[in-house]
Amino acid sequence: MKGYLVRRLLLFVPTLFFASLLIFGAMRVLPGDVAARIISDEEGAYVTEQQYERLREQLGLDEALPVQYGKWIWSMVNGDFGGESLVTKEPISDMVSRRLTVTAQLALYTILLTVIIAVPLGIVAAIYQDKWPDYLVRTFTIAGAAIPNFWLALMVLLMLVLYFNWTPPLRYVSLWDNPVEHFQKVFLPVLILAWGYTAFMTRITRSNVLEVLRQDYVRTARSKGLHEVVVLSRHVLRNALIPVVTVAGFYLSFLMSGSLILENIFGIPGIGQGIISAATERDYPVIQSLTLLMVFFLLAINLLVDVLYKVIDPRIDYSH
Amino acid sequence: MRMIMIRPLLLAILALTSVMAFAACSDDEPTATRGPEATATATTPAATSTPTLTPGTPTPTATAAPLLPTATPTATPMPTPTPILITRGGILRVGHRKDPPAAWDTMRSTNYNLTPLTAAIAGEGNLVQPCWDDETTICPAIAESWDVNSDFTSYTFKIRDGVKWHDGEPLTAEDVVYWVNLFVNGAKVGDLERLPGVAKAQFGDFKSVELLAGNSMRINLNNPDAFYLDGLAMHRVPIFHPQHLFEPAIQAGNMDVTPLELGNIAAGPFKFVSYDPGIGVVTERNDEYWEKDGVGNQLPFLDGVEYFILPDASAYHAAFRTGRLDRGAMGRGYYVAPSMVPQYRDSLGDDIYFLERAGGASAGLGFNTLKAPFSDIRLREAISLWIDRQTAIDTLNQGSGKIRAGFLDPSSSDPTYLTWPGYNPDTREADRAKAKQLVADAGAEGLEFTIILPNTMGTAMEWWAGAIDGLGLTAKLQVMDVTAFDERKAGTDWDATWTGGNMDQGTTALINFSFGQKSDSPYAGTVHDDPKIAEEATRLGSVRSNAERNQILRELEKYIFLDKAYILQASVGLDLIPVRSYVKDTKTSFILNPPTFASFSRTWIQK
Repeated sequence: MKGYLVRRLLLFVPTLFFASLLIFGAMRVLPGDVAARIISDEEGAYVTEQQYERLREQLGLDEALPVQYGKWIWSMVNGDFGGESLVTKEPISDMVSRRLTVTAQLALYTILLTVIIAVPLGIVAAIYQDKWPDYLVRTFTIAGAAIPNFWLALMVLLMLVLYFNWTPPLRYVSLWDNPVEHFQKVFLPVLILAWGYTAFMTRITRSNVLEVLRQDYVRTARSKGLHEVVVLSRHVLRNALIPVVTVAGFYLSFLMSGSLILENIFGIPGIGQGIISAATERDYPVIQSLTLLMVFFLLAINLLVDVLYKVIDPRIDYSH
Repeated sequence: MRMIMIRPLLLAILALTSVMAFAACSDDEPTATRGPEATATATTPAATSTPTLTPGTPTPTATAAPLLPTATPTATPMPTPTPILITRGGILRVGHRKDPPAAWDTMRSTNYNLTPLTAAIAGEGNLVQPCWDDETTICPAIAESWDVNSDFTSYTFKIRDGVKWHDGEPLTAEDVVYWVNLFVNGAKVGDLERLPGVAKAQFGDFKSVELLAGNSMRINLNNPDAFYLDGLAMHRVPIFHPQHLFEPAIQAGNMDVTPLELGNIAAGPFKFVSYDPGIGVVTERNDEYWEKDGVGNQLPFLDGVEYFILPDASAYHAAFRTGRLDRGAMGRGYYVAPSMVPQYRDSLGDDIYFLERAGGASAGLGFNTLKAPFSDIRLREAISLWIDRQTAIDTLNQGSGKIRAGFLDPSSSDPTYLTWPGYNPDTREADRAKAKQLVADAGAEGLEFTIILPNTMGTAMEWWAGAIDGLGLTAKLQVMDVTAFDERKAGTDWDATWTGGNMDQGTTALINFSFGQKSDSPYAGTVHDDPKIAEEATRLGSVRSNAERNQILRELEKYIFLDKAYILQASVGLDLIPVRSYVKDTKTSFILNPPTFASFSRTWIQK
């Protein structure tokens, strides 16, 4: 297991390197220029071409691409975490620590709610296969999977305005400062996100439980006279959980990368909102660093999920 | 093992693709705090003191230089201000579009995401400012008076005594001289360099700045400019760089030091308290602010202004309608269109009014005249003759706009502009026949061309594409996010473009930047190599009377928009900024940039 972990961790290096090349190249291929955005007024920019070029020079945008890449990568490894935003001049490390806390909370709420709802629903749907509880659950999950969350978010906001004359508070406050306002602010995006994720996880749980319920060892357990709850919890659920953990890990890695649109709509200052803002403004170092962070999360959570397999099912062997 | 290697890579590519896809596609508070302190002061709507003119100074109006007659806003009803007791206190909750760029450095950015914020912290103008009662005239600000030499090349300002920066240090003429120098010339320390401010054009044809005795200073110009103060009194150049803070930082080698790094210290009506990126900005009353209203009340009246950053426009409108904001945000996408007023009224009834700005969904069409097809003036004229401008009012302005000649407010344009070819409904058939003939003469029947536009201007440019239909030309829209658009427009690889419609173009510098040759302004709404516009703009600086000035502006407008058809305009409508009825004495300029009058120094909340 230890050797496996070391091998996986070593593989992070080339993966991150190739990802960094892709990210850097992609940002330079996209049209648009951060210098133009900084100096532009609403109707245009009241600057001469010379002023514009000097600003580009000041921002380091006139340097050769390999030099720009080298500087960025060096700043990623020397502790500067990408340097500072070209637009706001905020150190990216500060930005990440500030935004990551917010996103991590949102991700945690969402994943907890998803698991709490999806696993029992999946079991119920499997036990009552092709009966009305199963149909109900399947209707709920199909709707969750089919409705885009950004559209749902806008509809929810509109309905709140029309029928309740209420919208979430404008200012995001941390859980520790004001729990009530904190949850007023985050409960809608968490519910909307969790519905979408619940849809798929419920279906995964249902199909796996159905599959395990047909196994010989479950029949044996039942024939021994074990209570159905014991059969389900000890023999069925544990064996059906591995794909669920995989899906949960996958979701978590996406959630940790920020819920791009929903954070923006609900004014939640997390990683997703940061990426949208940086992408709009072509704030190269910010978007490069945040995207590389997303890649790192994907790798790390993926590894964590693999390790969890071993915990859930001791028969899994990573020694070869 | 192979799968293990491939999976993370696939995941990484997936994540990257989603970010690229987005980038490519784009673009405690519920109750307003009413402060406990209630000062009852009888007053009338604020009056601004008159600047002192030194006897003997030629007067062509260094003080009050009416550029253009102000358009009279109509339509949406506003609560009638009656003489009442002003209530001190309360926090004004204001919507704000995005995080301020450039670490709040007004020498680096003039973006609307920044300048409304600095208006409250640094004040509306600088040495001078547009008058509260009449935005076309100039009033004192940090300068209590000024004097102009006989040939309008030297402006001497007496700086107000007793003005303090927010940190308690005195603001003197020396500070102002330092600020002007830093803005116009930048700074050098050894090999290190700080660039001049991007909006240094607001300082006109600047030659030098001098410190004089008696808390005074002088700005010298290379060429006469009787209307110099009009260009200076803009939100783009606030006094936001205290010498006692910036000089040591720059001398220590921190050349790009920004106001935010130094605590956003200025001398405006509100002090900066905090800025939470992506969340908002908090300010509080500056008790030592220098300004008083017309009857001697100390300004400002509010305890503070809190700005909420709401990057999603739908969420912003929803928040306003549910009472979480007192005053709306500024900027494209955040104004309320006249068609949205009933929805606001449904939510808030009469407890709301709307500040009006010229704008609406209207937009201009600019041409790249240095390459085919629009190097041929016949095609530009043909489009101007063909389009039915009234339909722009009907569709884009919900019937409440006016036909627009060019860059001036319609009431300031040539009085005969509605009889110009292409503008006159009575000659429409003849105009259209001529348009067809011009296209035929140019051999351009069936020609396709592309209009580039930012994704925020889709509706307006769809109107243009539709309006050209039937002429024999086909316009294709190429929509991109704002950043890509800015870059594309700065080049010359386009046929036609969306162009904005600010009407505050009455100075030499602004005319050059908005309509000049490419080298003068990479973002001009048209590309041409015609030196006449720059020549006329320079002549504008040497005139001595408003009548003469307005005449030149009208001639320029006719030349650019009719004779040469470098840019075409169709209509002008209204942009609305919502305000709750209990918010008093807040306004916006009808024709100047929206951050004008955004300091909230006179605003108060009626309990």
